[in-house]
Amino acid sequence: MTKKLRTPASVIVTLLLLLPMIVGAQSVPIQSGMGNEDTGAPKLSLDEPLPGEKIIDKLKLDGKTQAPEVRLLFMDASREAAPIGQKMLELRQRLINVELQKKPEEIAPAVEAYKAAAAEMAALEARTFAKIYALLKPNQQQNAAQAFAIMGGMFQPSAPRGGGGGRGAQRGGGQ
Amino acid sequence: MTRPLLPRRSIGLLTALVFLGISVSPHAQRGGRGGGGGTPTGEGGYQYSRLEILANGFNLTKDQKKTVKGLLDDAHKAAAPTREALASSHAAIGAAIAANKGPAEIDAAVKEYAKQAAAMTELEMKTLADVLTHLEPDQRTNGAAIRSAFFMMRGIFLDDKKWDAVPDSRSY
Repeated sequence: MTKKLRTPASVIVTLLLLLPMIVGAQSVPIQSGMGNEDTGAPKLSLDEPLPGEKIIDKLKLDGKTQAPEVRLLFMDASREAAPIGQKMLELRQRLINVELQKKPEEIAPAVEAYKAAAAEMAALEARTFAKIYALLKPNQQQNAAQAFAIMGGMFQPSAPRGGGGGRGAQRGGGQ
Repeated sequence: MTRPLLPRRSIGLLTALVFLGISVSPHAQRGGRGGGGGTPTGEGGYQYSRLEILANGFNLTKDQKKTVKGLLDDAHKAAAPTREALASSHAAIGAAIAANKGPAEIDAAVKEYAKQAAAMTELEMKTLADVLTHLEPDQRTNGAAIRSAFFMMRGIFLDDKKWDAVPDSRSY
């Protein structure tokens, strides 16, 4: 691979050409993720259950009493997680930018800030899990560890998966 | 293939593009079907692996694909200790809750997990930066490909066997 330098003018033109696309993308409204909007993105795939539903299945929760309550807990947690997830996303952005700018002195503070945000998110997951655990019957508790493993990162914003998998803002939150 | 050294101006531009490109993502992704930054799929619902997503998104040459694969293979190996610590520290949180431990113990487990999560994130972002600096200037202006790659990186090294698989819902 050889390095090809472009003239500053051509680069600026490229950037300017890209700007409407970027600005346009920024104005994309928050979508439901339920498949009614045609954003041009891959279609929603239902081949893999949402993490929240996986947890409900894993714990063999009662569909009439426990599952609805757990879904509500996930929705509450999703709402609470939104600003934390946004912060984590921005910190990932900051990290890649300082890597690209070759500013090693700025990496450690960014990692520290990410660590603090990740602790907030993990604490939220832990609180949610504790509430779920309190609802479990003794025979359901045996799968609790596996269920908690699924919860890792489930309230963070994520990209649609391969296979056309839009998962929504939270991987399992908004059931 | 030699690693090109980017002039300061190019790095600045690349950084600006990455920032601009990525900064749209939280809104674009919020609905799940997102505004063009999502994980692409092929016709008939064919699911691309991570390397295919990068290769298609950035239109990588054969040599570039090989280089990118090498960078990610190395990073996947380097991620092994963090991956293990991440899994065990997360399990420790669950175990502390199940054992009805006090807040101090749960808080300590949470902090340890967060430390590992930050280490994994640092590795993911460093690796993506490495990949981007190996691309040609015109490839680096592809905002949609950068967004896809940015989101695809989260959790890329969680599987202990391979990173080049169809992205799934595993995360941390």
